[in-house]
Amino acid sequence: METVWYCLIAAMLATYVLLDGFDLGTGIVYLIVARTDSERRQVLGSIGPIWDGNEVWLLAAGGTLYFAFPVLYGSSFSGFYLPLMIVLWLLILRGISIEFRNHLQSPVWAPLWDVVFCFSSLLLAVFYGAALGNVVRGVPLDARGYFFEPLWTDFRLGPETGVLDWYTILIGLAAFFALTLHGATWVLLKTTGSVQGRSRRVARPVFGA
Amino acid sequence: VIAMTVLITIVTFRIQPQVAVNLSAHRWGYVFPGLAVAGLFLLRWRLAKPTTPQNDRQVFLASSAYLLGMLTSVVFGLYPYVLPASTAQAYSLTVYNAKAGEYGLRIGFVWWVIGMILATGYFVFLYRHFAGKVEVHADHKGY
Repeated sequence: METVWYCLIAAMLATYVLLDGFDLGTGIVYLIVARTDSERRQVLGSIGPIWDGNEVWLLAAGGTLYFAFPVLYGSSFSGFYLPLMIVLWLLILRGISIEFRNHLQSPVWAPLWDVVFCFSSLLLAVFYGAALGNVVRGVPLDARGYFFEPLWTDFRLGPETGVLDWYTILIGLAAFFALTLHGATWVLLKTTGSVQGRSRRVARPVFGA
Repeated sequence: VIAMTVLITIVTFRIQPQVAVNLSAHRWGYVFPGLAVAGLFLLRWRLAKPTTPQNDRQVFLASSAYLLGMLTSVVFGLYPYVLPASTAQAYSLTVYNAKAGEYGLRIGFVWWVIGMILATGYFVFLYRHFAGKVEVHADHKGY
């Protein structure tokens, strides 16, 4: 039964990465592919009705993890406390930047939230990748099944690793490129005209990176 | 993406030996990295073609296949570990020592299936409803 739950949680997380992955990627390419206000509304319109629904899979996976593997949930949420708080803030910033940008007509307001949307999406992609890197590399668990990692130490692999070291940063960069490509392909699929043309031009070099 | 995929694959095999152990013990597991490679080939082929609705859909599906292949490769490579320990292998969390009680897992499965039917139905409706290209109207201030 435990293997079934392992596969189910993996499937839910994979669904989250596929669906919210293109939301994040759309945010990363947002300032490059959309230059006018109309183009930016076109790009936001491609994820507008679905981005918050896509994040349901993260909550569902988290809830299922708590239910099926409570020891893992307790250990990782206590050990990764600091990066989880950063991810939470980035998710909040990303959500409010989409919702707030059209509330005021001002030359400062909308561009500010556009930049927040782009950078929070970018950092989320890197942090998700780094989180995956931590799971693959391993963490300094003690006999009670607990650990704590600072955000970084000396960026080397060894007995005292931080959340960020050269390996986890490498996986973070890989996640950044993969989600940028995924986002560019989504914008390519959902838009027309110059936005579509730019997203194709973004996708080609990112594919080779 | 191609360069990064090659780099992280080489480095990951050196850092997490369980991946090589699982792949050599269960050859069918190569289907997961195979899916990622197939996605990359499809992406390269489709990105070179001119834009059509069908081609654009296949480009997106190829990117999804790549991501799915990479993620499932990690899941397959780490099993049965859910959180490996860098201190001592005995401290690692596995599906066996991190799981909830057997009875709870069985009952929970029933509720999980009900929840997933609802969630999947909602997603099918949502994506069908908003299928197609995005249209922006001049008087539409929000998205």
